[in-house]
Amino acid sequence: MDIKKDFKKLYDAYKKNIIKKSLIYSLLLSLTALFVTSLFFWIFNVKQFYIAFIGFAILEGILFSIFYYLNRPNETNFARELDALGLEQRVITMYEYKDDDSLMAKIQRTNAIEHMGKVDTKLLRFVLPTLFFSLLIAASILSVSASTVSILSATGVIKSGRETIKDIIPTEQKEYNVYYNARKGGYIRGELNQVVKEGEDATPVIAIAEHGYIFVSWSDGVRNPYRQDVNVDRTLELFVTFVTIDEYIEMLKDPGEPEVPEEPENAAWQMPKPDDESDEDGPKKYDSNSMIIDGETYYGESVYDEYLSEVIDALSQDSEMSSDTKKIINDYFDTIEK
Amino acid sequence: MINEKDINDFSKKIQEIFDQISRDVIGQKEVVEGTVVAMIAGGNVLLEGVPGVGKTRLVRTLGRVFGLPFSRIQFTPDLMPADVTGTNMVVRDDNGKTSFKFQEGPIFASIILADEINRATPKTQSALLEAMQEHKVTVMGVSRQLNEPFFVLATQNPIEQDGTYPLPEAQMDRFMFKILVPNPGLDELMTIVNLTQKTMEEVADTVCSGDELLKMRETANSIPVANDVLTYAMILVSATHPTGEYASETAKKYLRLGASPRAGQAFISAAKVKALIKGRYNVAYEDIDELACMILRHRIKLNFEAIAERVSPDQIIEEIIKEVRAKYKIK
Repeated sequence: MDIKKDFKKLYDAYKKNIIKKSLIYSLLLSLTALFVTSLFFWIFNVKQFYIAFIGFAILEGILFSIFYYLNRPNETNFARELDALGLEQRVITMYEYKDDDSLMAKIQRTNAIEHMGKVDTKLLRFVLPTLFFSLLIAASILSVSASTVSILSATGVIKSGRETIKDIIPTEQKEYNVYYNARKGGYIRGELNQVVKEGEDATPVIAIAEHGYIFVSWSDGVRNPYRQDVNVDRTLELFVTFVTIDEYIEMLKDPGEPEVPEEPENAAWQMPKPDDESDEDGPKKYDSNSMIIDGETYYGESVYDEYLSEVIDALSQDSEMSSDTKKIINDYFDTIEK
Repeated sequence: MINEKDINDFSKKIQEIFDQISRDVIGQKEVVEGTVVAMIAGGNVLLEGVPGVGKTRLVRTLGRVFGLPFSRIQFTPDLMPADVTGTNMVVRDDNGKTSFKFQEGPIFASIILADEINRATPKTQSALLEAMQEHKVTVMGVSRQLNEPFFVLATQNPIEQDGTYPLPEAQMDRFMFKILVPNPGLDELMTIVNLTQKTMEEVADTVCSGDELLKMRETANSIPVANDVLTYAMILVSATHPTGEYASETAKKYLRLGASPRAGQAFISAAKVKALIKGRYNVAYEDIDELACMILRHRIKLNFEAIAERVSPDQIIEEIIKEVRAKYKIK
């Protein structure tokens, strides 16, 4: 007696049900994962939105395989399922005794098949529980919505989640004071006392030496008269140091480097830009006469020429200065000129 | 070997048996069915009920219906084992020579009605042990085989406990079923009274011989049992052991002793008969459940907590069934 042939139809329906069940269960979980991933991508403005879809496809494949494997159809399980429809263990007994040639086993098989014919096949249909169905619909809607938002955010059509949240719920930002102080021998052009929000940038300033003085460094070790403190996260109080030309010559004579503190992370400087290339959104003004290249200050031609003629005059009138000192000063001016 | 006729005869014969019993015993459908199932499965039955509910009448009727030799032993405190099994007597032949001759006791019948079994002393009660299990008796070192089929149908009164000797576990375990005989319902009571106003005579006819009964047993034994069902029955037995691996929470709470392996044997033998009576050729979970109380109620020992809370053995068994079904996801 070919038992499989007798209820092949029911068994096929059972196999389809297992596929449907596995597909729906795995879909619910992978849609939830897609929703969470898309939401994350939107909030943190991750541009690679397609990763969420690839992840969804891979997860769906894995989960489906797991669910199908766990519920994989076999004849014994099918027999049990069928018996649960009111067949009183007829089918499972029939399976276990399918190779038994005794009269009673044969009669039992006939009896089981007879009763199987009376089973309402509608009962074998996979019916999705209402709660499960609702969850699936909710997961579908949420994941599609989150994916769409994530794509729009990644393509710049809408703001990222973080920005949107900031817009909706404004947070109080900390503010820090930034003080720039000049000592004797020069002054600072720009806003000397600034109030800067945490993480934002201070407006640029430039230290300008007075006549007869030379800029040396800022108190935090920056040796560039032009500076802009970016990403401010604490109160800053900075002093600028100027020295006279004589003092500067002495410093040059001294082979050792002057001891200056190391540059902190937030003490940044920027290469001055031509006026027409300045940022549109910031008040980043600078003096076009001053150029800073490789940490050295180079003054614009007008400033340089004016100071040079003054120094040459002073040198020529100074009879006490040795010829060696005058040569060093001349070499320095040559260096600046270059 | 059984043939198709035996299988067809079974259902016909069982119907005739029930029809004839119902002529003398009014109502008590479950009691009658339980007793007949035990007889076909080859088990002994302990009937427990208050006086007057028809226990003795049922056993007498069964003796008539099956056409089997029937003995009634009224158990009393002064009953001796020899009064049950029989004894060697000195006899003198025609030549004047004396010799021992074994005088068979009432146990040498096929259906034994052990009436009020708990009134006899443990010594006399134990005289039945060998007979119930091995269907033989040993007197003065000589073993004698009893008739086949052989059944002990015992009765006891649950109320009167003075001057009784509760049956020991070993004796209890030899009863396949303990059946509680309830008081008849109002309709049944009216029928009984009306019937007995006319005549007290028992009218049931013999419809089944001993050989036919043995054939029915052989037919029922050939019923296949699926491994799932067998496992379920054995788990149910194991779940009654409070310290066992499969112990149920109910057993842990209310029992101090679980059922023996004989309970497992009884489940399968009786379930096969029950299935065939229903016209099914395999054993189902429902058969096991329906038999559970009859098979287990006298095999489990309640602890103090159960007695204090007045929890009955049947309630405990029903809880164990629920637990096992839920735990092993049996639909």
